[in-house]
Amino acid sequence: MTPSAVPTDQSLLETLAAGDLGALRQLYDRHAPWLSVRLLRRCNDREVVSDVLQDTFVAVWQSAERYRGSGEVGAWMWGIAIRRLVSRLRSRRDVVLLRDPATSLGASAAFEDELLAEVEYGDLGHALAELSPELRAVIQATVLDGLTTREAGRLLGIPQNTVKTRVHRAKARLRASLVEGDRP
Amino acid sequence: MSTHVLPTDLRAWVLGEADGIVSLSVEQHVMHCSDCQRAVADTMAAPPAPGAAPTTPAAAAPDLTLVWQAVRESLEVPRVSLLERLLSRLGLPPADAMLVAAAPALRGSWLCAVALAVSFAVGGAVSARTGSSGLFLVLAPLVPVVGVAAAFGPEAGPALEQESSAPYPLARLILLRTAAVLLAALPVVVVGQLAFPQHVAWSWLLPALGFTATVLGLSPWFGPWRPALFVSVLWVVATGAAARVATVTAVLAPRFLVLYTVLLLAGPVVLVLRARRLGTIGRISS
Amino acid sequence: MTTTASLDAVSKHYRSVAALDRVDLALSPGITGLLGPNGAGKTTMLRVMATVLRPDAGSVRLLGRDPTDPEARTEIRRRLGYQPQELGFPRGFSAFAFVNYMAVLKEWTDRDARTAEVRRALELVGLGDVATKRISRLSGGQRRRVALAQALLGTPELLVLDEPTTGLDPEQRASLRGVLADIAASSTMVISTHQTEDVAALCNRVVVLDAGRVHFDGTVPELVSLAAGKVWMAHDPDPSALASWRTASGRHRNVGEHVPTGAKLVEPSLEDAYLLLRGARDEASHDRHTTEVAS
Repeated sequence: MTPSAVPTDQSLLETLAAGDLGALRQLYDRHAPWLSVRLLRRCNDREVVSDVLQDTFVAVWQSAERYRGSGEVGAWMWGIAIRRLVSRLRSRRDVVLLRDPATSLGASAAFEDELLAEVEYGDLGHALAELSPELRAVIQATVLDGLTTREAGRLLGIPQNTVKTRVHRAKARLRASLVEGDRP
Repeated sequence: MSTHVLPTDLRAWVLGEADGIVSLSVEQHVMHCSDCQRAVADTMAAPPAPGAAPTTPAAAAPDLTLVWQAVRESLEVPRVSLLERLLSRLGLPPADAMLVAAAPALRGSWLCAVALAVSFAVGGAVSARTGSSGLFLVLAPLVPVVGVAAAFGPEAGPALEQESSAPYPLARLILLRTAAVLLAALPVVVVGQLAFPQHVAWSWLLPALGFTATVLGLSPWFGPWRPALFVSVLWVVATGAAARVATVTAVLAPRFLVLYTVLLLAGPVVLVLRARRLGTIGRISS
Repeated sequence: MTTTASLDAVSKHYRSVAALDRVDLALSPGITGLLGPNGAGKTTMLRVMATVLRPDAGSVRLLGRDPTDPEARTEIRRRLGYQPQELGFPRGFSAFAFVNYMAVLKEWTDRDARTAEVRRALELVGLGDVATKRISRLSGGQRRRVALAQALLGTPELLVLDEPTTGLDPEQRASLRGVLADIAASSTMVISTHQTEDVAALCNRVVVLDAGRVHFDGTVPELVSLAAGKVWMAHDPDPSALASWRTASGRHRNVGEHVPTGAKLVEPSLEDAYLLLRGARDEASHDRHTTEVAS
């Protein structure tokens, strides 16, 4: 008997596509925690996040066969979750923008540099830090979370055109930032 | 170069204390790192640190166990169907509504009903030109007969043995289902009636119900299909003979109407009595 | 000891054949195994016990009541669970949906309580993870377990199981035996089976049925003792033995009445005793024509 290896996300998806609820439970135990935290950071309403989480896993169950194995399962699940959140948001009051504590820039620059070194994007992370919160929010929504401009608008509570202009501006700033400042 | 995140950053992110950039970084990473996913789960499951403010976002996180139960329930428990809700609205107790709606034959009989309605409509148009409604008179009573047989024939009763050992009265179940199937089948013949010339009127209804009752009454001994076939053949022969001798509507002469009424009354009574005495219906009973 | 179920001179005929011929039987709490060849009348007997079939003659008492009375019959059925041999399920139902449907038939009217009970029954038979699968997509052994799950709803006092282990692989059979053993502690169970190992592992009592008659009714050790001194090992199959087969060691195990002198006797098993019983019966009636009755 092979040593009991921890099943991969892919294999769990295959099992649950065949109708195994236990596999869904395992996937849930693995991914629901971080999904719920990430969702909560975009919408601080616990009830809405609970509902979205529930919908997400029901959707995972129903569309497991359609997952073609392209890309990570985590990213795929996040894609489902964020779209569910967007379609559920009705009241602007539910939405909280990315928080930016007052201490993020300034005195603790060295600390900041250390952090940025760990960001996936290296130089881009540094450039992102220099953006204003509004611009960063649209970049996060469109580029990092993979939403369309319309969906990003619904999430952030701003018109779609505003999203477009801000993305345009943000990308211009990032480009400029990367071109000019690649040596600290 | 593997970019991992500091455990402190991860924890801060979970508790909602991390700033924008750290969060960006953590979120992109956690999506595909199983170790960090586990760390998040552990952090969330752990009791709050001593001295932590009671309003930390971690406390505001959804109860994952409750959400799982909701997921499971929505996947396992069959939804209350439209038909069930309709039947409950009509006054049927929810349990009975569920049992009737679960009748496997209902789906099939709806399809047949639609097909028959269409053919009656076409036939009506044809006969309006030729002026004969005999065919309608022959076919109309057989529609509910076939429908009822389908309602509790072998295809509808594969679980009969298991159902028989349950306390719910089987005769009642079958009558409820029969009624449901009739409700599905009768609109068909109503449409047919409207499509065909008036002079047949609604008089086919009595033979229809009488035959249905006969099938029900004989089913404890023979199952539903044999009586259904027997009755159908008899009716076709009778109408054929009537058409030969006089007109088709001779089968609707008063003395026959009495016969149909007797059948209509006797059938369910026989069924219920026999079923109660034996407690079983169908092929096991003999 | 209380009698949960009793059959008194019960007979049942199909056309000219007697499926049950003046059978007397009394069941008490615990597990009773029903052994017998195909056509012995096991299914007929179990159907009578499950109130699904009415005998032609004789009287039946189940849980202290008479099933010929309609009210008593309903009352009995409330405390009864039956898993038939022939399985049938309505089309399009998932395992959960079907057990839920049977729960409705068993008068579980409260939705939440019913859902919890259905889940409990499915977990008990090991189908918790595949509850949402369509029954048509389940394996034969899994379908049999669905039928068992509905029988276990409401922890009935009388459990009638017709071949519950048929179609299960050895691992599933072992786990099922564990489940049944736990349940039987608080109820009366009667199981029919072809496997003597099931009887040996599970049952306090065993009844051997053949051609509608009871040929043995007693404890398992009593049945085994019938074969004491009548089982021996030999290098070759012994022609005078009733039954003889090759064992893993390569030598032959022989069971019979006429033990050769000096033969190497071995401890009898339940299977040996059963074969002896069957063999004895065949010898006594070898010129009587027996029709195979679908049991």
